[in-house]
Amino acid sequence: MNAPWIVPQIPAVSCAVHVPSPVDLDDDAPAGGRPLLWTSRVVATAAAFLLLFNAGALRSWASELSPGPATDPVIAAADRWFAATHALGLDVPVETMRGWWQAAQAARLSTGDDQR
Amino acid sequence: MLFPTLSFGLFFLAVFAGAWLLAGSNEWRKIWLLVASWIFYGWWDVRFVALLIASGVLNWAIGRLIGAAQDDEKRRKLLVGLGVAVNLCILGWFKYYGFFMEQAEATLRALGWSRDLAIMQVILPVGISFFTFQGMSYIIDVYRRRTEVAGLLDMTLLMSFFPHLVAGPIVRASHLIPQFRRVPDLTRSMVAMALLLIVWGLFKKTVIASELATGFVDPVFFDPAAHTSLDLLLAAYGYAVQIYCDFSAYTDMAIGIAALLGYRFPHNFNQPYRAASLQDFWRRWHISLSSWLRDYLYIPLGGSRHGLERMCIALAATMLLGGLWHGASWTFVVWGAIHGSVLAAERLWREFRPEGWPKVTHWVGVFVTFHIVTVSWIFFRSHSLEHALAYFGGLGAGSWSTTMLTPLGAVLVAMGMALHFLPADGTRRAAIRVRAMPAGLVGALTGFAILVVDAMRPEGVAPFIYYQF
Repeated sequence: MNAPWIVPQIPAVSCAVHVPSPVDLDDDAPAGGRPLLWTSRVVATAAAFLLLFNAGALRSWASELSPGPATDPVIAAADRWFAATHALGLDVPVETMRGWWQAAQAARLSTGDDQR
Repeated sequence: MLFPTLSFGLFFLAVFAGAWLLAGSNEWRKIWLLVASWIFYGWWDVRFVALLIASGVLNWAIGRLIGAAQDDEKRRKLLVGLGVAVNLCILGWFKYYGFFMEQAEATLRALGWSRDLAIMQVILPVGISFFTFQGMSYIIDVYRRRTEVAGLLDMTLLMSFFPHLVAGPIVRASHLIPQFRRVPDLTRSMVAMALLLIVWGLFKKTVIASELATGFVDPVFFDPAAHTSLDLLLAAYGYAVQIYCDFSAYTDMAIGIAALLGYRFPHNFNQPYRAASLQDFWRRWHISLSSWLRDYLYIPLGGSRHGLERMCIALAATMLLGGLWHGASWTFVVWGAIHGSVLAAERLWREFRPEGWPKVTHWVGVFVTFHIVTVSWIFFRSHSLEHALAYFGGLGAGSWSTTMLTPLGAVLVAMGMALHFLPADGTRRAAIRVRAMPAGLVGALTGFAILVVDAMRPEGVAPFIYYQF
């Protein structure tokens, strides 16, 4: 595809600027083969991990959707999926960590009664 | 649609899949990314997608006209002036109209002409400061022959590209348009670093910044008079950590998201609170804005080429306008004035330091710079000058007995500061390890890290601080 409306017809100077980016690791080690396949597997594994162990987040997200013919099946499926993972105890890790975090939030240095 | 939300996660999975499925045609791939960017922007307010498109087309057309007038310097100068003026008018209307009308009304009242002016409430489009600056830098760079004339698709994608659209970094045409010329390569190195940046950004935003904001900083800044001096002092440090963790988190995630699509964004932060001078601070904080202000404001105003006096004026003007860029309020002007004055004072001190006076040691410089920056953040965070002065009044009240800061809050403030003194290449070294791991392990570790962050995040996530700019 090379339509004139997207390709400039004006002679231009070449002035691409190389600007360092945090994603440039600047080393000569081999980068590894088939990076797109590797990336896709990483993304799919992470998504599956979260689907299994964090179904509560999916349910919370679905519950905020406006009810309607398009969203009702999504909300119902998210509820069913959460119930299934909960029955297997897969939400125990995230709930345990949340409990630790809430305990840390509740800790106080002093009562604070004597604030002005 | 905020980065640290499931809505964005699902949106990004679709964009990621589409972008790489369309890798056979660079043009269709860019169209896909453009449409995705408009959907992302329209999520806030669909009306402003038209503004975004119009702004892109306008800057494209002016760039093209400047490029066509190759040998006619007068015409080129006229066109670049017109382009900058139109961009400033767009920014001025949406961002500064209300502020200037209020000032005009107050001035007229002071002169005895007491009449209410009809002031319209203009809604501020998210990210307008970022994309208008991007448009201006494009046409100025075309005028200066520092960048090529872009096609319409490339120009609109440059200005609309969703990872940087609403809060930067300000990616210039000369950085990104050459990357748009072909389907980018993805490497394991890029992806490993991208994943680390995204997870790290999620942690900084949803754990450190959100917890500090809701649990401590917001209540103290909301009503300074109801808190002790100790609370006010700790909340000032807390805000310094919060704004760093909030803004650098957005940048980290933006860089990571762009990298997963194959594009490289520049650095925007480099441990700013370890700066030993304010000049050093601005080389580490919001680097894309400070370099923009340097190239398009400070240097055209004379920079350091016309003597010390002119340089000080240029510095002050640049920082005042940089302050106003953040928002239409006197608090931002004062914030800019503090930075401009201290930058000028640093230059004067370097020039006129008496012979034999001891040099300030590095760590004293770091301590002093951090506290100047923290004082200026109080103005930045306050909603009015009166409010900021009340805050300083409370600081001077001398009530140091109690604090509402929790142990968790203290740990987060300490952690936010400690981040600045870790090895600067820590993430890079971690990425080198990650890229050598099998995909299944990296995916599981990424999922686990997101799970841990999700367990610690509050209900709902507040918008990033820089969304309002």
